[in-house]
Amino acid sequence: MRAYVDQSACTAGGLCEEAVPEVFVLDDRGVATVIEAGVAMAEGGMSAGGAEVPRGLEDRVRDAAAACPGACIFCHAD
Amino acid sequence: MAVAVAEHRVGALEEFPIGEVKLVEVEGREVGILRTRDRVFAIGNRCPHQGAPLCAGRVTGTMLASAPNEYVYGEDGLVIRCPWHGFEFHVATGESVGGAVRGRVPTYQVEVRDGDVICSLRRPPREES
Repeated sequence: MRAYVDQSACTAGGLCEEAVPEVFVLDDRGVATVIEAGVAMAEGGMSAGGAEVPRGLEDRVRDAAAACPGACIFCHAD
Repeated sequence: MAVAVAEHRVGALEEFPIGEVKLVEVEGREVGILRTRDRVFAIGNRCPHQGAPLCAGRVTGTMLASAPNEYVYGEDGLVIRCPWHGFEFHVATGESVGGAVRGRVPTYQVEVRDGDVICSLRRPPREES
């Protein structure tokens, strides 16, 4: 599964980072992005098709997407 | 790689009454355009508290930080109040007044060019509230 953040809608509350810090982090502008191979992706990972979600974290990422107040986290199959 | 962000003409300036938020759609996203006497602002239509349609709220001012027993109203026309729970947000930054709500309303780049209001979904550099 891959996930990305539409940063244009991010409300910067950091709930995703709190829920799944292995996958989400707030960038230097204070909006969320995804992490791949330990690196925060540019533009929320949108242009790269998202970050690969580590096995075993899929449900937590889906829960974070459902709870996101900006509804800006998107998940899709590889 | 940076993502190209398109600019969109969302209307003529005269179509936006001063002091009112008018909803427009930009790339499928609802954006509220607020025209003041000397500037335009673009904000998201989703309150970061519980997702309320923020732009249905009232444009107002707020009470400024002041000494005990002093009540100072300011920022008139630069604050929007959520219609559901009354949380207030600075339209320039999207930040919650007084930090009452975690997170902030998205703000977008918008400008007036040759009498037209041009908006993109690019997030502007952060301003101080």
